[in-house]
Amino acid sequence: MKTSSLISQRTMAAVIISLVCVIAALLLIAFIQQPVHDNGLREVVFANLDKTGVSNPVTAVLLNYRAFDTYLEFAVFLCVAVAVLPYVLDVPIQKQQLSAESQVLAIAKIFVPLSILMAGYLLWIGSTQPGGAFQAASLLAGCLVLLSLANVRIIDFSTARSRFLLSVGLLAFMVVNIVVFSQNFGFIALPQNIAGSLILFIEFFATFAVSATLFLCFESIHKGHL
Amino acid sequence: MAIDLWIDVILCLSVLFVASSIFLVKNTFSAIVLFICLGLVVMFCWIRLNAIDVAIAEAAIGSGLTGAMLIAAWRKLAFNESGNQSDEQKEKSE
Repeated sequence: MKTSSLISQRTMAAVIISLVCVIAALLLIAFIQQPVHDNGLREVVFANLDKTGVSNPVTAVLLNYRAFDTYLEFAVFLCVAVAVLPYVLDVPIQKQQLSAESQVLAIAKIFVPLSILMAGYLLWIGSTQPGGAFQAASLLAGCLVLLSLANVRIIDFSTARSRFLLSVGLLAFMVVNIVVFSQNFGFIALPQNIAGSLILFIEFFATFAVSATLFLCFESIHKGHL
Repeated sequence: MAIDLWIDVILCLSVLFVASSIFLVKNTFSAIVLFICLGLVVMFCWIRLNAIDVAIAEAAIGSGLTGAMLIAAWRKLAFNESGNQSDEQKEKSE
């Protein structure tokens, strides 16, 4: 009985390994047969860069050429926040205080101001150099995580204010879209002369919304219900 | 040119090595730490591909925040397992 089960296990393993090898070989062949990735989009992006209001091609793609994708992405972020929110509601507040010489508190004292400064810099520099709303948002979320580990409660997700914070990115984008559309510029087509400031406006609010959503995801695991 | 090629080859091999060791390691905590390491190695790959935006996002979200979430989840799992074990022990002793 035992030997037969052992043999069947071995044959199963052999079948699985051979299947994996065959699929890996097919994928490798498909990968090698792919033509070199050049569909001419790079030239189009750089040719129209001066019409977008920003000089960083990544920000231009995210918030001008492909603004609709980013718009829907903010909606996805809001959906995630709504889905995770029940885990952090009605969680008992921890009364325990960290001791003054706690290392987490010491690290937080140094790194929170620095990373807030760095997040603002990344947000501002995003129009010309690598950086932008998502990078700034992840830094801010890191800040919030550090404070949460140090038992400092900043955002109470049960209040309406925090829910407004979670949706403020989508709201800002919506407002811009409605205003631009009502001025007869077309749907999600930013006017050339103020595109840069509109992008900064959207990114500013998106930073807060995305960082709050990322922090909510962490908080739901760290302090939420099991 | 040759040095660039060798850096790329070493990066590719280390990604494969770290990624496979995540699956081969038995301990959950080691797997989480290796996952964070994988994020950092992949960050270097993005830098080599001249995609600094993606590298920043990978380091901050893919490695930092996801790592923090995984460690928080690991703490909960460890707490739950120890709680269950103590429950079983209580039942046994009773």
